[in-house]
Amino acid sequence: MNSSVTSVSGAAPSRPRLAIGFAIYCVVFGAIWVVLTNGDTSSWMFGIPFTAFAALVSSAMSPITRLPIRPLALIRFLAYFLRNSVVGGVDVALRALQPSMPLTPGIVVCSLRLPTPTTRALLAYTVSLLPGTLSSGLEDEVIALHVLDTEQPVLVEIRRIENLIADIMGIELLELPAVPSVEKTSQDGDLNA
Amino acid sequence: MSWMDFLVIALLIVSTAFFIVGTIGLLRFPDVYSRLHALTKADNLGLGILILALALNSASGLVSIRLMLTWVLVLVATATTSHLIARAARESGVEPWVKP
Repeated sequence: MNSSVTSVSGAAPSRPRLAIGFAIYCVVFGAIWVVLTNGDTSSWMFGIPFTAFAALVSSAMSPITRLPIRPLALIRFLAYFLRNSVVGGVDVALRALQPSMPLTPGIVVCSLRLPTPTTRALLAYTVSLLPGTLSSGLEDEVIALHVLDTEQPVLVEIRRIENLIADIMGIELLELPAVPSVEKTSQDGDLNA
Repeated sequence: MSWMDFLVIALLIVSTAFFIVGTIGLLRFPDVYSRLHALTKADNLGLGILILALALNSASGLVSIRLMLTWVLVLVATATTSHLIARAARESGVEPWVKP
């Protein structure tokens, strides 16, 4: 079950695995194309080459290393995402509308426990769309977040999203360094995490 | 008009409000990072509500799926571009605004 972890240490996935990943991307992107073009067969002249190209780039940049996705965990993740999209939109709307415009922004740097580049990228995507956080750099396992309100318990949310993503993939999270490499710039005061 | 029409109109108005507030945030917020927050969050929610309204209005399964797919693709594009803009700003040394 730990085969995906090997890609962290730089070992490339084997050839058959790459081929399977490419095929999966082709099917997914092809399905997207068919839905978007309403099944119009004359559009395949563009659809087939672009689908193949997108699948090629995707499997080169983020090869699929494991397939089984846990549907229940995915639903939990989507529920969390939808709920927090609403919270995030309302939160930023209220800040923008108040005359006093309550903002105490800053940069929060933290280490991630997710073992693979793909899952870390998914986390970076997720936090950018959730309340008060915006990914502004992802270097290996270290993510730099811009937060709108440094009083908010940002790290608690990051850990929660990590757990949700690890559950979807059925993977183990890495141990954090004994001393959490959390550093906060631009602001004083404590992070509530 | 049926109650469904009223629901669709209400959702459209709410979604427009989020787009407008996102733009207000874009204009009022102090630096590039905060402005990205305003755009990504408010516009995504606004678009989500808009898509919901259009899906209800269409009452067609395939059209609804296509609309949802559009929302997901826009979410991915938004998250990617905002990440790239924020990263480019940090790498070129743009300091985040700090509350005085």
